[in-house]
Amino acid sequence: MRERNWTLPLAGVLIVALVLGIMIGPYPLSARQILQELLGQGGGTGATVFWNIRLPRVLAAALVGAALAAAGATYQSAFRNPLVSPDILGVSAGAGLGAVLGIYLGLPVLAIQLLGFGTGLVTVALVVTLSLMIGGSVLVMVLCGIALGALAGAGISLIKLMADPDNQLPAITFWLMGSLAGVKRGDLMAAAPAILLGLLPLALLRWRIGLLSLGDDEARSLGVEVGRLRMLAVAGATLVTAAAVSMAGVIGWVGLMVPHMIRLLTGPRFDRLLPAAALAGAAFMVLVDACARTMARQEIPLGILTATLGAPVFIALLARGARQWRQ
Amino acid sequence: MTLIEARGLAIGHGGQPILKGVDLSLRAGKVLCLLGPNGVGKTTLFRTLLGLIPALSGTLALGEEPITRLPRHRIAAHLAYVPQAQDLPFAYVAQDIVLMGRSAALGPYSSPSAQDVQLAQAAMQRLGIAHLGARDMTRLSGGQRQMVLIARALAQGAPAIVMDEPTASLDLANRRRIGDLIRVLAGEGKGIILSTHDPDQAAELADEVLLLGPGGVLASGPVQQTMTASALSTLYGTPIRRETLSEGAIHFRALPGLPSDD
Amino acid sequence: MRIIRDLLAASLIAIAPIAPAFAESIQDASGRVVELASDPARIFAAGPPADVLLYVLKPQAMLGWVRAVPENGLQYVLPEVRDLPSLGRLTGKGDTLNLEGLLAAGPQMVLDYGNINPTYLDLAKRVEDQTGVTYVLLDGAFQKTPDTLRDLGAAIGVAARGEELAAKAEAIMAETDRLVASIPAKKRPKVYLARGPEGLESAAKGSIHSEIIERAGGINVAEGDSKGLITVSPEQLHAWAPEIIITVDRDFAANATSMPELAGIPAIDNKRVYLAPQAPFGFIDAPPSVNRLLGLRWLTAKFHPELAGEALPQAVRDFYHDFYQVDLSDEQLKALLGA
Repeated sequence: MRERNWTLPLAGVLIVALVLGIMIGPYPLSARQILQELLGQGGGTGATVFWNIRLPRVLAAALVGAALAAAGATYQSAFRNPLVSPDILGVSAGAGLGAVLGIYLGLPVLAIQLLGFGTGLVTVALVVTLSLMIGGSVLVMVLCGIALGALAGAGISLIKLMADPDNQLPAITFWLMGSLAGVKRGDLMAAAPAILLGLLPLALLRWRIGLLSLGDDEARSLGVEVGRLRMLAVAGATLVTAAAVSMAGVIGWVGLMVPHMIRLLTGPRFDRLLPAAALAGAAFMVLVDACARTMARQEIPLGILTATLGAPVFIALLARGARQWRQ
Repeated sequence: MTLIEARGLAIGHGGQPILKGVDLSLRAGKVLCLLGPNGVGKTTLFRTLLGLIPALSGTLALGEEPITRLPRHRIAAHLAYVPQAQDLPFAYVAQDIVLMGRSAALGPYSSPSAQDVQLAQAAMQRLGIAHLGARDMTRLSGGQRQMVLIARALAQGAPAIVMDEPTASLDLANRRRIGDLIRVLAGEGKGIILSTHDPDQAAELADEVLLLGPGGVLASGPVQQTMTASALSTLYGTPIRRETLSEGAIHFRALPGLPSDD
Repeated sequence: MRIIRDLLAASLIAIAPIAPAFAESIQDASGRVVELASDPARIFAAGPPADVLLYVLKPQAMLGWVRAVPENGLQYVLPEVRDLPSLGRLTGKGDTLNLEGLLAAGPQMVLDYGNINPTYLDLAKRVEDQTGVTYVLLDGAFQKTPDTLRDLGAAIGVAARGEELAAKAEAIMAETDRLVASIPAKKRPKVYLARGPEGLESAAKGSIHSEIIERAGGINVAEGDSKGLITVSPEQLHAWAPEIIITVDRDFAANATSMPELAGIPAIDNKRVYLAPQAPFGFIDAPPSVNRLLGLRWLTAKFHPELAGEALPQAVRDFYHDFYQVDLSDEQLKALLGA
């Protein structure tokens, strides 16, 4: 099964998901209407919904899903631990702090996103710098990430406490639960370059990043500059995560769960895992987001859906892992 | 041809030498065996040879070049490493692991080509483990895992191989198999440096031995002259008798009695 | 000087509970009859809705604001309450005042006004048990506003003012109801209440934040399963196709008609996006209190300008005079209602 090339089948799944995503939504668009729009023969409200709302949202979902899954796979390999997620170094908490601060200060939406993006990157940079000053082992880095993540969480709580409970507090709460409901073309244009830029080194280094999972001594003995490679991998994964989180809010579990499931298909080889996980993450997020806008009469935050799906999967994986560890 | 040449090496972690004045030379087609009690610094010496930690003083050259001038992939092209044990976070199959041996030969942005896959398969066939290719590493026996790691070292194509206690925790048949393989590889021109706790195995496999005592080299040289009863008794701190068996092989036997105080 | 004043204040606080003079009583939302000190001079409002209720009835008894009136709203409240401190809120999630702070403010009673459920009733009882300060929790349902004004006014020593405001409130409600009753169901506009800078937060039908929309003769398009606030996608807005958008967000009001993803929605195309005034208190909710009476008037005028538009300026003037005790200048009125 592992020898099979999963990239093409998963690309097919993504295309199906994209088509479904474009069809599904509270504003009814028929297949014929969509076809007319694509051929440039549409118009009216249908055109607004299709070009300005549905299409950017579906593409944003695909981009965010691909970003989170690729980043999760990268962190798991770079830190030799299948149970880490993209926010292990505090990028989500950091981005959350920036965005929440932006909401508190009443900044425009794009500024909120940029602030979140910036603070996410700064948080990880601080974590890496601190851990290098302390001693530089992977464990120190992860523990620094947990500590700074908690600090950022405290900052978020403080801002929530100070925020206007009628207007700002709900906005903050919704943001922290993750949603693509308000994504516009401009948001997509702002986030896409950062995500693609971050994915580029991961794609180029996809063979070498896999070697990091062997451990530092072994990887070095195979000819890998471990320190530099890990930093590049972490930088790329952090960039895509920060961009995804600043656009869509905090969406947990995808980065942990999707690489795990895909590893069952492709095996752990990172050069096969990365493209497959990115495609599957994209398809998954497009479908979850379609559920988010149609399951109830109101929008359901994505974080709620991904956690509801992710937690049982995680426990199943733990049980599987525990059986292996006992042997 | 000399593959590894070390002169007056002091090694250790964090500036504190645990071994000083180590002279060592590995030539193509030869097996060099490290003997010494637990904790004396055999693994640290290996890590120094592999360039994983810097030597505190002395010179170390791989081939013609001092190791300090070699980038990581050049070291890997010269010297392959067979670790004692692996702790894999993911369920790699054997052929994944062997293929990783090709990494040093790849450009930084390349993945293995069909030719690399062939080389990896050839290395497995060479060791008679081609049928294990699709098996999960964690489901292989200790001997099979060791074979896979040696196959990776072959796929790496380095003239010199470092093996850290390659037969520790293996059963008799697998010890025999790995031992024979080491001799065959040396016969084909590889230079191999390994560590073991079994003087008999050292005497059987090695061309030369390096006896490492606390702080430095106790003795080194060809097996027959270096592995004397008195040298080994000093090395392990217990009386040891050397016996010559009928086939000409030598055998060491630890004598009953308390270890001496000095 | 300052020390002496503080000492005096402290001794007053110490004396107050020792010499209770019960005179009046009120039935609170839990159904119990609460005995109150006669004409209490120090009343602590537990949340923003209670702030407004207390301000319109008895501003001289206020100890502070739960949420300070913003800078641009200060001109619309009496001078003597402008400099009152912010004391923090006591109920709901995110209390920012501890019980010692409550006692330090030296209140004779705590007034709470808003949603009623077993949690809030229990919280009220716990605070009262722990501090010994009478805690009155009143139901904030819009419909009960006149009764609340009348009963509370009588209980805290301002019966005449309570009666006067109750009558005005009844008049506003009755007039609106009469007007709305004359409008056939199919002529009632579909309305969306937009919150947040993107206008993508709303309050669904049945929420305390939006209940006056129906009352004012509109149809709230936001359907949701939440009593609180909900998020909405622009696509959902297209599906709902509101004819009028009411917003409480200045940025959204300014940008709504130029947002490409909203183009095609009737309210946007017809430029019927209205920013609800916020000074000194919000017209729609923020907080959901007595201020909503004016919001009801304003919404009716926006929904049915041909019937209620002309009388709006005078109605606003009257409401500020009657409830907030300020007389609006022409400039102030213009600033509130727009051109």
